[in-house]
Amino acid sequence: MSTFVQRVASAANLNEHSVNPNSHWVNLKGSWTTNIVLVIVFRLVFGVIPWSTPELCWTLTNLSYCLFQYIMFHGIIGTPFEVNQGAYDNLTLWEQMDNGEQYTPTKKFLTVVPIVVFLLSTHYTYYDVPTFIINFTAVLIVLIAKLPAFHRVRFFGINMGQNEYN
Amino acid sequence: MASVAASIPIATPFALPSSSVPEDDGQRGLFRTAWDFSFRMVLRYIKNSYKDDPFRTFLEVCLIAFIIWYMTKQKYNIGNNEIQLSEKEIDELVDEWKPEPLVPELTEFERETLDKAVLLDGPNGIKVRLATGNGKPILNFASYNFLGFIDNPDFGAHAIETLRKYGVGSCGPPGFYGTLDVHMELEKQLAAFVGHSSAILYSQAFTTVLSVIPCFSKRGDIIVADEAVSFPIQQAISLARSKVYWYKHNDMADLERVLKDVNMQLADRRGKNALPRKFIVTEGLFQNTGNISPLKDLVELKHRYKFRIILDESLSFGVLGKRGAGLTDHFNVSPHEVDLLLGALSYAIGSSGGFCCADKDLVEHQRLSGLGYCFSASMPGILAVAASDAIQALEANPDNYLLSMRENTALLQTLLKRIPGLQVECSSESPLMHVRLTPETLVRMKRSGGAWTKTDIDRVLTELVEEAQKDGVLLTRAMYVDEHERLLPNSSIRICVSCAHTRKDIEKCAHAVKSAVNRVTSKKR
Repeated sequence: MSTFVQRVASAANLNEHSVNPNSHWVNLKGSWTTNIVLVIVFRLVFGVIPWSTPELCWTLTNLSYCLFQYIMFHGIIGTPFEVNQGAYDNLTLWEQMDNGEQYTPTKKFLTVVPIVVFLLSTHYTYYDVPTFIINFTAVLIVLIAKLPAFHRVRFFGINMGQNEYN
Repeated sequence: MASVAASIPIATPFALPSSSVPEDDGQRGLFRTAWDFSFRMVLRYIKNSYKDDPFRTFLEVCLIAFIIWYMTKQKYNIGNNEIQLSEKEIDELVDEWKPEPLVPELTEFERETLDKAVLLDGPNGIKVRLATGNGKPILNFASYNFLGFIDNPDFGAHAIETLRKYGVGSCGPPGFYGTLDVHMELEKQLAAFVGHSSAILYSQAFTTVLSVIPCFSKRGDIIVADEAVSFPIQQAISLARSKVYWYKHNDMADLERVLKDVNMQLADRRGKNALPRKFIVTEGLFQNTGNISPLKDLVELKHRYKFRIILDESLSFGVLGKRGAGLTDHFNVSPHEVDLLLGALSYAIGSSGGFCCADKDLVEHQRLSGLGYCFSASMPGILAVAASDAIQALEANPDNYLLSMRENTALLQTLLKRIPGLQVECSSESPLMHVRLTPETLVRMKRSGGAWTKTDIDRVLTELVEEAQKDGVLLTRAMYVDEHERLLPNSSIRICVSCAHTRKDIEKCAHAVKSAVNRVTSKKR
C-alpha cells in the first residue's frame, strides 16, 4: 500500500514526465565509459611530456579531469532546448540530471571517479605540500558542488541566473 | 596515530606459537601463513602509502569513508516532502473523501441566467428570430458583427463551392498535412492587408493569443500589461510564467513609470541574464471597456525603454482605420513598429480563427513552437475562404462598410448619452459600447438602507435586456467567468453596432434602451 501512495505522489511531479534532452545522455553507458577513457587519455598524454615527473603528470591529470567535470556539470547553466517554459534555465547540468533526484547511479559514479583518480594519484606519487593542496582543493570543489545539501545552492553569486527580483 | 602505526611489529601480536596446537598442525600452518602473508601485505601497503604524513592519510581515509557513505545512500528526490501514511490513515482518508460533483451546483442567479439564455431560430445576422419569441424578427445588437459579414450571401455561396472541393475539416495540424493552398493564400493576403512582412494563421481566435505570448515570453522574461486586457490575454500571460507588471488602463504616465522601474531593476543585473525579453502587452480595441490604445505613445515608449509590443487587435481588426486594417491604420503608424500584431477573424470578419503578423523570423519561429499552431488542426478550408472573401470585400471598398458603421456608431452614442440615468463608457470611435446605469440611478433605485451587490446589478441589467427584447431589440449583458478575471469589470450591457444597421434600426435601439431604462429604474428594490 505504501508503494502505491508513493507512486501517486511522485506522479504529481511534473518534471518526471518531460524528458530533458540536455541531461538524459549522461545516464548512457557510453558517457560513463567516456569518463574513464578520458582519465586514461589524460594520464597517457601527460605521461609522454618530456622531463615530466609522476607528480606533474598525475597533478595535470587530476586537475584536467576536475576542470572537465566542473565545466560540464557545474559551470554552465540552462539548456539549449525549450523545456517547460524555461524550467531548467537556472540549473546546472548536475541539477538537471535525473530531474534533480539524488544518489542515482550516474551521480554516484560521477562522484566516485574524481575521488578515485585523486587516491590513485596520491598512491603513485610523493606530493609535496603545495601540490597536495592544489590537487585536494580541486577534488574538494567538484565534490562540494555535487553534495545534495548544495542542490540549487550558489556560492559567491556564481551561476545565479535570473533570480526573482523585486 | 603516527606512533601507533610505526610501533606495530609486523604480524607479531597475532602470530600464535605453533606448538600450542599440535594436532592438525599442517592445516593450521597453511591458514596461518596465508593470513600472515595478506596481513603483511596490507600493512606494507599502508606503510607505503602512508608517506610519513598522518594528516594526509587522515584526509585519504576521510575520502574513502565519503565514498562508502555516498554509495550506500538511497535515491531520493529533493523537495519531495511526501507524508508517509499508515494503511489505517489511508483507509480513513478514502472513507472521508466526498467527490465534488462534475458539474457544480448552480447558484440561484446562475440558474436564472441559464434559463434566460437566448436561443436563435435560424441563422445569426442583423435580424434574427428567437426560438422563444413570437416569430417576429428582432434587431441584433449583441453579436460582434461590425461589418455585417456574418450573413453575407455571397461569402456563403463561395464557401459552399469550397466545401465541395476541400470537404469539411482539414484533418491535421498545419505542419502535418493540414495546410491547404487557401491557408497560405490567406496568410499572404493578411500580411499584405495589414502591411506587415509576414503572417501566420491559427485555427481559433482564443488560442492565437494563448499561443503567441507564451511562445516568445518565457520564464524570467518581463511582461508589462494593461490592467483591462481581455480574458484570453490574461490567460496567456499566466501561461507564459514571465514576470508580470500591470499598468493602469490606458494610462501612459503609469506605463512609463512601470517601464522605468523595470529598467532600473534590470540595470543592477550582470551577465547573460541582464537582458531578458521585455514586452508591452495591450489590446487595440478593449473588449472589456471599448477603449482604444494610444498606439503612438506606446510606440514612443517602446523605443525609449527598449521594449517590444504585443498588440491584440482581435476586435480592432476590420473596424478601426481608414482601410479597416486596425489600430496601426487608425493612427497611421507603420505596422512594423508593432513587433507582434495579433488579430482575430472571428469578430468583424465573420469567419473563424486568428492570425499573427510579425517579421518573417518571428513568424517562422511560431511555426515550430507556437503550441496552438503545432498541436491544433488547421482551420477548415471554407472558413479560410470566407475570411479571405471578407477581407477582399473590405479591401476593395472600405468606405462601403466603415463609413456607415462609423455613422451608426456616432449616432447611437449620441442617442444613448442623452438617456438620463445611463452612462456610456467607450471611445467615440468604438462600435463596441458598454452601457451602465449611473451610480446615482442605482442609489435612487434602492430602498433606503440597502446596498447593491454585483448580482443585484446583474439582475437589473438582465431585466433591462429583457425589456429591450420586448421592443424588438436584442442586447446582451457582458458576461465574464467572474472568479477567473483578474479585475472584474463593472456590470454592463454590451452593444455592438454594425454597418448593416440602418438609421432607423439605430433609432429603434436607442428608443428601446430608453424605455427599458425608464421601466426598470422606476421600480424600487
